[in-house]
Amino acid sequence: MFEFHKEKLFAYLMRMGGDYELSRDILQETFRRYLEHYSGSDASPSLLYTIARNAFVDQVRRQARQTPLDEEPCDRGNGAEHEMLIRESYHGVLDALKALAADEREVLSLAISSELSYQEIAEVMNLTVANVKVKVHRARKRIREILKGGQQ
Amino acid sequence: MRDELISMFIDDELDLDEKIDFVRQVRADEAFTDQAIEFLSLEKDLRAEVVERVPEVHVTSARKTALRVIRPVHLVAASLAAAAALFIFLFWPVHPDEPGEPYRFVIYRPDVSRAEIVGSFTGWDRVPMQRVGSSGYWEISLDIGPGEHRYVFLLDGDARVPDPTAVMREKDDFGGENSVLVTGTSA
Repeated sequence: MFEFHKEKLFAYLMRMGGDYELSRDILQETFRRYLEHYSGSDASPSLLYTIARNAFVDQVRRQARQTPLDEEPCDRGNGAEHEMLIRESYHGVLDALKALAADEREVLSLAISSELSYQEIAEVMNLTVANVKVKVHRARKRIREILKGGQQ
Repeated sequence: MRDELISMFIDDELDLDEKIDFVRQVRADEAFTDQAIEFLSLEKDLRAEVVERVPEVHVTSARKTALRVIRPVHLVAASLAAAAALFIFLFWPVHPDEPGEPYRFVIYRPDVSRAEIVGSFTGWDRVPMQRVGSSGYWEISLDIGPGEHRYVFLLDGDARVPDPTAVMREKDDFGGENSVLVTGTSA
């Protein structure tokens, strides 16, 4: 089951945080938490994404306690080797995602990474479906503007 | 709302009436067509592969789950002792939250001949970890008490490896990384 979801979950975490090492740690933590608390239940993708999102939020909070947030939340030391593993062509997209508001980045990351429906995304993010609908498109418009701006 | 049809189209969220509406819009309005195509092209970039290689993750508890169905009574006598040892190893809680319980550290490294742990709770003295049969795992249980702890595994004497199961890490003063563990509070 993990192998099946691993790639998409990892892509989701990369789009959320832009950091290879951090995404790997959170992926691991996600599977650990899943096994610890839910191993007897059905492995619904929305459950896995909910756990991953919570683990991500926990990590951001921890970082916030240790360093001022939003300075460079995505850059951690010892990352040159991992940086190389990010596709050259995707750096621009990651930068654009980083420039989105947190809720927009989150809803868009879920929409493009997971195979979750708007209904499921709404459950993961604790929003209404109508809200997801609006936010997801707003995020796409915004990232389009950012990427266009970058090309000029 | 019309705009949002494009995202709903991309995300496969349109019902049949909305699909009819969408097709009509695309046909009637060239600017809308261009816009839809632009968003679809953007989507290709957004959904492109992010990394060259997805990392390996060691889900140590996975073995716990995989063997959950095995009961000692079902095991043949010859393998009973080894299996029971592994069974205990796998079922022992890795990270008990109760204060006063020993905390169990585990690392999967079948390729090393020695594993030790050093940390704030050992006074930064090396404490050898025990090999768990031939499973490739090394383990140790320590009374670390509640609080914030820093530690790292030492493999084959000198390679410092942070705990792959611990999310938090921080740099030490020597250019390496330590794992950070907070106990006594729920996750």
